[in-house]
Parts: sequence; C-alpha cells; structure tokens
Amino acid sequence: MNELLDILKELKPDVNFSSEKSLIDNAILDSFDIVQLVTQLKDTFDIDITPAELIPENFNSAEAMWNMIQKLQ
Amino acid sequence: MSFVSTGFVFFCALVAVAYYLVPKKIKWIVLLFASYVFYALNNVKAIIFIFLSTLVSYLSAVNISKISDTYDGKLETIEDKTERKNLKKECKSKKKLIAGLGLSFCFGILVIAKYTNFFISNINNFIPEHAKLPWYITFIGLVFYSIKLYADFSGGMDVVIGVSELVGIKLSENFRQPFFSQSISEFWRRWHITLGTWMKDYIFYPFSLSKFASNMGKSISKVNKYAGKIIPMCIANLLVFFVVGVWHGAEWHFIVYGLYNGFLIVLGIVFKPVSEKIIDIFHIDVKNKWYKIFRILRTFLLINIGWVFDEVNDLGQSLSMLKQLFRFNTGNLISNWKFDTFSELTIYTVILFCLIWFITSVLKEKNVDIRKKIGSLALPIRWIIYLALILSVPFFQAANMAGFIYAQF
Repeated sequence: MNELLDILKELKPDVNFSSEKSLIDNAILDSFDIVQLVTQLKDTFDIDITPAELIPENFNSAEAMWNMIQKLQ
Repeated sequence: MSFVSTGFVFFCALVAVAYYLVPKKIKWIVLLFASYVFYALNNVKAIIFIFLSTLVSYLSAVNISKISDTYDGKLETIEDKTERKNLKKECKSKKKLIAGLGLSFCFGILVIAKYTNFFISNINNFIPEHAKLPWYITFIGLVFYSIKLYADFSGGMDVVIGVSELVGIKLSENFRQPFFSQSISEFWRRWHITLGTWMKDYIFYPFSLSKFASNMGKSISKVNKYAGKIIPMCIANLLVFFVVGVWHGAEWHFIVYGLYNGFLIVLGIVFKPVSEKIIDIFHIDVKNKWYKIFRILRTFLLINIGWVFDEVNDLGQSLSMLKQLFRFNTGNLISNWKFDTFSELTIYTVILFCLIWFITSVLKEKNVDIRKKIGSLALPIRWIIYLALILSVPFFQAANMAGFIYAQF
C-alpha cells in the first residue's frame, strides 16, 4: 500500500491520496494521469491491467486501487 | 420529426400513455415500436438500416450467449487443466468471431448510411458570404455558431433526457457547462460527454495501454524519460481526435477539425514543463480567480477558432475564414453583412436567452439543483413557472427554427 501511495504522490504531489475518495468522479485524475499510473502499476506490481479494469470504481481511491492490484496479482 | 414540433409533444404523450397502460412484461415492445415509428417518421428508408442492425445485434447476442452456455456445460464434465484451458480458448475465439461479424455488419451499415451521402441533410450555412467581412464579424459569427450549436445540441439532449425519464429511463448527462472549461482537454470532457467517454474507453485506453505503446514508450525512455512517458499518450490522443473527426462526417475539414483539437491538447502536454516553469517564475497563483478566468477565455477563444473547420462545406472555406480572422481587415461592414436575415426580435430573444442560460450555468457550476429548487416551491408559484416556461416555447417560435443540427452526425 505504501508503494502505491508513493507512486500516486509522485504523479500528483498536491493531492491527499489517503483521504480522497472520488479521484475519478471529481476529475482529480484525468485519462492522461490514469495511463501514466497504470503503466507504472503494471511494472511495479507485475500485473496486467486491461482496459476492462479501467472503471471509476477501481480508481476512485487509493484503497480501491490497492484492492484491484491484489485481485490481479 | 423535430423535437420542438407540436407533433413530437403528442407523440411522446401517446407513447407515455401506451407505456403505462400495457403490462410490465411487454413495456419494452412499446418502446421499441415507438423508436421505429419515430425514425420512420423522419426517413422511411432509414428504418431498413435500423431494423437490420437491431436484428443482427440481437442474433449475435443470442448466439454468443448460446455458445457460453454450451461451453459451460462441457467445462463441468472436464477435470484436466490443459483441456479446460484449450476449451476456454476455443469458446472465447468463437464468441469473438460472432461479435466481429456482427460489428462488421453494423459498421458496414454505418459506412453506407453515413459516409455515402445517403441521407445527407442540408448543412445550414450560418455565416453568409464571409469572404470580405471584417475579422471581428467573422469572430462574432463563430461565437454565434457556438451558441447555436450548444443550444441545439444540449437543448436537444435535454428533450431526449426528459422524454426518457417520462418512461423511467435515466440517461447520462451529455454536457456539463463546457464553456467554463479551463483547457481543451477539459472542454472535451464536458462537451458531448458520451462521445468522449466512448473514445476514451474504446480507443484511448486500449491503444495507450497496448503492448505496442508500452514498448514504444520504453524505447523512447532510454533517450528521454519525459518523451517516453508522453509520446504514446500523445499518439493515442491524436488517434482519438482523428476518429472524432471521421465521426463528424467523411470530409477533410472534419478530420482537420478533429486534429486541430488533438494537436492543441498535445501542445499542452508537450509544453507542460515549460508552462509550469513560467507559472513558477512569475509566481502565478493557479488558484486565483483571475487566472482561472484567463484560462476559460483562452479555451473559449481556441474552441471558437476551431469551428472554422466544423461549420463549413469544405476545407477551402475553412482556410479563407481563418485568413479572414487573422488578417485583421476592418472591411466594409454594412454592404457585406446580411443583417436583415435576422429580425430585431430574434436578436433580443437570443440575448435574453443567453443571459438566462449564463445565469443557470453559473448556478449549476455552483452545484445548485435548479430543478429541485423549483420543485420545492409552493404549488401555485411552481406551476406559474412551469406554464411560463411551456408557453415561452411557442411564443419565441422555437418550432419555426431549423431542425436538430446534431441529428446529421
């Protein structure tokens, strides 16, 4: 989880990822951020994230992302 | 049938009554039948295409579900792991084949219907004889085109959303005050949202997350890390806007229109480090209200310039309009502008409605739910507002104006 938070912090330093729960719904992360993020998650956690996984429910919070990563591992 | 015609009001009322009268089990048939009738009223020939594509989609779906069922049954009896894997693969490729055939057929219909001038409708040329107009008139014309297009499209969508709610179907919002966007990419997230979402899900993500894109990114990263990060995304973005262009129609000016927007977004990404530096050097507060207003105006300007590639008949016209805009020629206003095509009342009506529209948009930006607010007023006041709004439609002769521009796309 900390590894994920580090990646997120690097992507958008001014967002508080541990408390924000609507990263997608409030348009804090746009599609360009998502592509950068997913590319990095793929390499870091050695998982395959397909476009089918790219739904708001999986990316609205750091927690949701972490759940998705664990499911894909 | 135009959305603002009296016929349409009666049609909707009839459908709604029929919908609520029939038993729940066959309600969908009423809606399907009503949809066919609606399209048939527009163009009888089009109904054949719509019927064929419904049939093919339905048969494909039934077949795919049948294949799934058969293979699920087979899988239950087999224990061997490799055999199961092979069987699953076989099932997947069969389903893919059916889906592929169905899609090809539907896209084929689209190509025939949309790109071979089958039901070409009149493109309403808004700016008459712009060859010798002063630049500011051309610009005002473009701004009016914004107003017309936005009113037409989001107004039309509001009618569609409202009619759907009448029969209990909640459609997603297609516009979110797009002209308050602070960047071109934000504009495209707030204008025609359903198209943007489709492009994002089916073109942007699949391409930018493909093996090809990630390998390309990795090899460019060896030379320049930032370039490796952004180039695959920029290509995906240009691809999206190329398709957006083609979606508008098989004309060169539409493709340029798409790419114009795509390139502006790419420029924004490429020069992001530079603009961040400028913000840093000049100590610009990005949360400052005036900075936001500056960004909104800049986006508005770029979007309006972009219309020169959209609202014309060919690319030559676009270029002559661009020349018109940037030559800063003051020209001869009176002899060239056909001002008499608009009555004074029309102009005042447009200004009045733009004002109302602006105020409601600002309220919406501030998350005020106007519909709920009106709904919570005392009954007599509420109904006075409803009746005034309903009566304002025939009063301002909306029904006499042109049809839905976006229907042609």
